[in-house]
Amino acid sequence: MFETTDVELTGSESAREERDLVFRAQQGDREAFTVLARTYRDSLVHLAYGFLHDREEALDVAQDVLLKAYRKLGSFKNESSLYTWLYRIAINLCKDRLRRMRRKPTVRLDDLGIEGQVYEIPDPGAGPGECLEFAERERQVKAAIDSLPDKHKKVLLLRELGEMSYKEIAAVLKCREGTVMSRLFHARKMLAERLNSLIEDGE
Amino acid sequence: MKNRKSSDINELELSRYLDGELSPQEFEQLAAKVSCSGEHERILKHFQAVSSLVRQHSRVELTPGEQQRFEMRLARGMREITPGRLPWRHYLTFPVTAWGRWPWSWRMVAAMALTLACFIPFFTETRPRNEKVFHGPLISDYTTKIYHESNSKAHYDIIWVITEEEEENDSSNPLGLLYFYRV
Repeated sequence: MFETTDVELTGSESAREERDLVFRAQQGDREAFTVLARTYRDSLVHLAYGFLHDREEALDVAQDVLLKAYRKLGSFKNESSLYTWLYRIAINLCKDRLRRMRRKPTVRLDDLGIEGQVYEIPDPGAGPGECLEFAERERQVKAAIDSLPDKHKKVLLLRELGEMSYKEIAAVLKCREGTVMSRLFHARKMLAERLNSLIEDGE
Repeated sequence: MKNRKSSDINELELSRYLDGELSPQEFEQLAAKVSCSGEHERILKHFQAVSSLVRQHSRVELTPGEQQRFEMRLARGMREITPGRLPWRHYLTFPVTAWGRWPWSWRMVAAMALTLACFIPFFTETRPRNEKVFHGPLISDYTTKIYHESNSKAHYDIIWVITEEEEENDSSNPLGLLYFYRV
């Protein structure tokens, strides 16, 4: 079980602290890696969920990413930042998982309507109509994201869910910043066309 | 086609504008352009809407239970695997690589310790390890013949101490030469 350590790693000030934690983890300090894992857990889950649209799968992938990183920590060089490395692993694992899911499609109880899917409702006091509307909107957004070409989808999710800069995305995907900018723009444009009705309703 | 291309470039800038990837000067210019152009404003709103829809519907907030389960499973997984230690090459260059990671206060302390360690031999008595230390008896312990010779040039006195027993055996002086420096 983890012990609670309130270490927030945000901003450039904590870069050195993160390097120290990585170094300690490389020396075998499990607690140091735990702090790092807690820092990136949510971002990894968001990213994985963006790719897979499945809560449990996303949690599994995020966990696999962290365990893989722990196992391979020795090969990590401090030349790149840790989250760039983690996100790269996450994207590769998501791709593998998607491939596996497509090869062996499983029918979930949720899809059969036997058990209602748990949607996160923005307003807890929302009525059934609003819940259904929210679920429908979510379905449309996910479908629109899935319909994007793979390279556009990656850039979009890294930007929107990973909240990374163009430079960071370029480092994760090993491409140029200009490519990131162009792909992101086209991804947004495609989504704007596909989700036009939702956007118009929102206005 | 040409018009479409130039429109794309503007839209591309809008995407960068939305992501905060423009320089302050470019940002101001584009902000002015957007406020004057209804078309640009509409496109920007669409991009913002896309952004917020993706963020809203592709995020999962973990419940405390899920967080706990996640951490427990991760901790279990970490116990089962051997962490990736640094490759052996790292340990060859370790002093150099580690130095770069240390905070300045640590570096100062390490530098001082290293300097002290270098000077320690000069402050301590240096004697070959295999040399036996002569713990000779005091002159006063013996009924001895003491031969005293003064060396004024070398500033020391040489005293031969020969015990009675040694004298009887006619052996060489076991006490060796004792040097007593003049005060």
